[in-house]
Amino acid sequence: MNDKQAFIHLADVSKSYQRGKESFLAISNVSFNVMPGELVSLVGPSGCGKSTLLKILAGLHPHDAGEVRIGSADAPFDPKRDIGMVFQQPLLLKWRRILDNVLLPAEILGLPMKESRERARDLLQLTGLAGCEDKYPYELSGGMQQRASIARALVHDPKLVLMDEPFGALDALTREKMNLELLRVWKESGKTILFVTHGISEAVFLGTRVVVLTSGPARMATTSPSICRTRAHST
Amino acid sequence: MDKSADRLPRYTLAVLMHVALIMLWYLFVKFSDVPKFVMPSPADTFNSLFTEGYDWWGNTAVTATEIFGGYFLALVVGVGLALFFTWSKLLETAFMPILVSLNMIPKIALGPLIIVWFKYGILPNTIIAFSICVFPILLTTVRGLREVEPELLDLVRSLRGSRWQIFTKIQLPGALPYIFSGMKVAAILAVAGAIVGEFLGSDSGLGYLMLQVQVTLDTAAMFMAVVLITLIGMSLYAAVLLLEHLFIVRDARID
Repeated sequence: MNDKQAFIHLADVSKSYQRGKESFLAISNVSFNVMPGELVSLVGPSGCGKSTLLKILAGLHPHDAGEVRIGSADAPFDPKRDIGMVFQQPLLLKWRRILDNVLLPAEILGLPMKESRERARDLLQLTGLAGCEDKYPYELSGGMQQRASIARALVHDPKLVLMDEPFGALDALTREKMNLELLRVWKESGKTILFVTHGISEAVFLGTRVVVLTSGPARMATTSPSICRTRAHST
Repeated sequence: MDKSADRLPRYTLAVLMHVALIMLWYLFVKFSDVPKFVMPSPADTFNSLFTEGYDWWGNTAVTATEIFGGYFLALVVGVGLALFFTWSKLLETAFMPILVSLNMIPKIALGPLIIVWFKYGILPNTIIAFSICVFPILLTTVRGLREVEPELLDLVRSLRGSRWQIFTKIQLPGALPYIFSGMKVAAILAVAGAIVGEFLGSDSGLGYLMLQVQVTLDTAAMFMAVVLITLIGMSLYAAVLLLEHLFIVRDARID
């Protein structure tokens, strides 16, 4: 795998936090690449610093050492527009209807509303929420709310989607279903997805590759070779 | 969606219970030997409305002005100060302890002072009503503005959203249910504030009228004054509930 072609290139990234007077290391020398269009699972024990890594990639936290590069010559990356985020909780705004919730990133970025609305409708279709446009979040189940939050992460057409244990709060059956749905959405949308989880089976099932981190501070345990699941393959 | 099928019986029952209470009052007065100046009947109470010289209309208008005026002022000042204090961490850290201390002052105890400062009449009573209901509104608004999911902030920041966008799209709409919960508490307090002001020193209003008719032991008129004061309070509360119903999605309401 060539570093130059990688969409995300991390080399020896470290990050420590001040906790009171002590500084504690959250991430230590993490290196891996993500190729454009890959769905990479990032697996590791709870609290190992996986979320911190996502926040560094989202530009919410600076890293202390190492190299973080997103985008390549072929796929330039705009840090403002090209990140979609999905969290463990759907975090929908209670006072907005589903369509307006999905539109939030488009509003913040000041994108043209008419096209964004079209796109939001298409995405609700894609995530299996057609007909829910005018519902309020409380009228939807947890799984459906999480689908809406995935649609929201895609509405501004970002190149990279960061997912932080998005199905962790769902029951086992819904989670299985959402895993399949996510693979479908990934294939149809062609996004690069970095999927954080602490479930090994989920990580293996979803990822084209799995990056395994150790317990805190997060260090590279191993990176699985590319699993033979490309967009051309069906699952 | 409300199940309209259960709503009708529920409202009917509520009305019936109110009527039953008045009936109980009527029967109690009719079959006991309580003198009229201790316990007037519902009819006596209602008839006192037609007593010459009590100026029910004028006095009710004065009290209503004080209550609504003080309440509205508290709403504007309370929400305004909350926005100001929560704008930066520094302002909040500097002012919140002071506000919590001020909130501990029994506002009723300020009544005599307020009358010294503002003479007597509608203005000081409005200010007493204001001072008693500004804190619940202020404190609940501050709480609502602070109550934002940190991850939601991450989401907006990952899009490089501005402070103003966070405020208008997330913080303020998120705080509205809290503001309404403070407004409901304040609606009840405003009435008490205005009446206490009228008791302390005033030349008009239902509280003033109560003191006047107390001297002549016109208990029926005192009852009527209490009924009218309650009605003013209920109309204020109902207006707040109506607004809440219009503006707040059911799931987001705080009781």
